[in-house]
Amino acid sequence: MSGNAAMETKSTSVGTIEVSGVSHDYQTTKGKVAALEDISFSAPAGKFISLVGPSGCGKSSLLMVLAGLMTPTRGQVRLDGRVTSGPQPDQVAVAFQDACLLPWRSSLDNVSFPLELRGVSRSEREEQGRQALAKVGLSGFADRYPRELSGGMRQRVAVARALIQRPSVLLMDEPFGALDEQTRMDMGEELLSLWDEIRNTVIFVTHNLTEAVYLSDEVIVMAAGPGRIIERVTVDLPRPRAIEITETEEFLHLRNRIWRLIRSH
Amino acid sequence: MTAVLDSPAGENTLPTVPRRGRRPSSVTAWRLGVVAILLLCWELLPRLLGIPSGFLVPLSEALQAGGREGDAVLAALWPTVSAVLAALTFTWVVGVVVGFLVGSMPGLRFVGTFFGILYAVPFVILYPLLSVWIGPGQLSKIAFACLYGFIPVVLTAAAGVRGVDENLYRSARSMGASRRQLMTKVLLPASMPVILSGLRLGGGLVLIAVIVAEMLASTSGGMGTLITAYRVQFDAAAVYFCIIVVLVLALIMDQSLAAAERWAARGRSVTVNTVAPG
Ligand SMILES: Nc1ncnc2c1ncn2[C@@H]1O[C@H](COP(=O)(O)OP(=O)(O)OP(=O)(O)O)[C@@H](O)[C@H]1O
Ligand SMILES: [Mg+2]
Repeated sequence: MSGNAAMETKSTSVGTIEVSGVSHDYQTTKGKVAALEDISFSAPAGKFISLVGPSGCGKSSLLMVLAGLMTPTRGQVRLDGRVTSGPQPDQVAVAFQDACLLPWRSSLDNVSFPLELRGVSRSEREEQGRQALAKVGLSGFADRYPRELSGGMRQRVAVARALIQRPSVLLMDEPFGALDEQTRMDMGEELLSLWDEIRNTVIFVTHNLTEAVYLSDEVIVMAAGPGRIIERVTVDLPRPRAIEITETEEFLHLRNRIWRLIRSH
Repeated sequence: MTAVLDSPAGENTLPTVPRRGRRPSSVTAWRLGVVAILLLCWELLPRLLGIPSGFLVPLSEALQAGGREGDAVLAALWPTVSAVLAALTFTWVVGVVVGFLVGSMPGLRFVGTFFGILYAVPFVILYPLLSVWIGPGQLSKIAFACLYGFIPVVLTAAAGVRGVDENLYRSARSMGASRRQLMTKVLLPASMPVILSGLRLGGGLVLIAVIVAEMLASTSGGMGTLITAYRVQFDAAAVYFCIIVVLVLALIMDQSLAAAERWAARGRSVTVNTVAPG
């Protein structure tokens, strides 16, 4: 019964997101903090969208709302036209900054954790888990604990774990934020080539404007106090994109425009 | 440099971390050596320095006393061990459950505070009362030991659960974990090393409490009563032998828990020198 329902949502799920009038206030001991104010935007299916903005402008809060991990004070989120509440693991997967791997589980057991939660059999989990690890180039590291991996590898495991959910929407909160510049760009390149095969909807939070422009179809620029959207910048650079594109004039023009937008608020 | 970054699968680019396995035999040898030297000192120093045997009995004499009093010691062992086991079962099971609830439900935080205050009470003053209420037998011993071991187990378990990284919880929730799965697959394994260290703490206190209770009430039997009896008879050698037996009991309990702790902390702490023996 529930299995059937899951199958149905999966086959019809395309990953359009509509955010309408979302505001969120955190209750603290010192009173209310307005983290988000009247956020509305829609993401068509299969688009790669980045959220950028100064620290504290509510990027993570917005992502938590989209993930169903936090109920906004006002407003709602529609997934494929349906108002949602709570996590939607069949459609939405989340990858956080510090990878959030379970330290007592091997890479393989971490990657297949979402399947375990769904009650998938061990052999099936192992097969899918190994495939997912191979996709991110970590075939040889199935038995390693997270602590025994480099930061970049941990993040690859987290990406593999998100992809194993076959999400129509992938939410990422500064997934490469803890990595050095070189590894960060390598990971971005890998993510793009993985995404080219899947083409699901991605909402990607980052501080790094080069990364944002390089990856995205659209960059949503936010400002703080209270968190709001100030501009949506369309990135119409051709795909597939090689890393060299970051040196072209169009690219730099877009990047600088976004930078000025953030600076001016 | 770039070669390293280009090949994610470069085995040689990883820090080499010792995996589960045997402790290097040199470490075992070292430890055995230290123990042997200590035992030798125990044997020789009293003789060489002329320490009166009322104070410190050489090891061999203590062991001889053990041979002489073997039956009495054996008979006293069971009341102690059974009381310890009963009290351990209660404090560990109930303590972990209560601690887990206190730690995971913000509404129950005050219970933790309450136990924290209670922890400062020297419960030893309660034993006379307990033995009057329940009688001086096994039951009051067990109740007394539970009283002693329970609170640290609760407090550590609660702290362990509270210390679980919120992001782990959050990401599991986004993957569709149910409440039950969050408990069993995230909170419990994540806090297990801390919970086990609480069990170790509580276990030690339970053993102490049982022995103390036995010393206080001469009719309750057990190792504590026996030690008191030998002390009254000025049989220092037998006292020392009993102490050795109690130490061995404590060591067995503590080391098995330490091994469990290392297993639970797999993938987390550096396990270079603390790998379980054998
Ligand atoms: N749990 C919380 N309780 C109270 N206030 C919070 C909480 N989480 C976030 N805030 C506040 O909400 C605002 C938005 O925070 P958020 O973490 O969403 O920002 P962000 O854009 O992700 O910042 P960063 O780029 O530094 O990650 C900030 O002012 C922050 O102080
Ligand atoms: Mg953030």
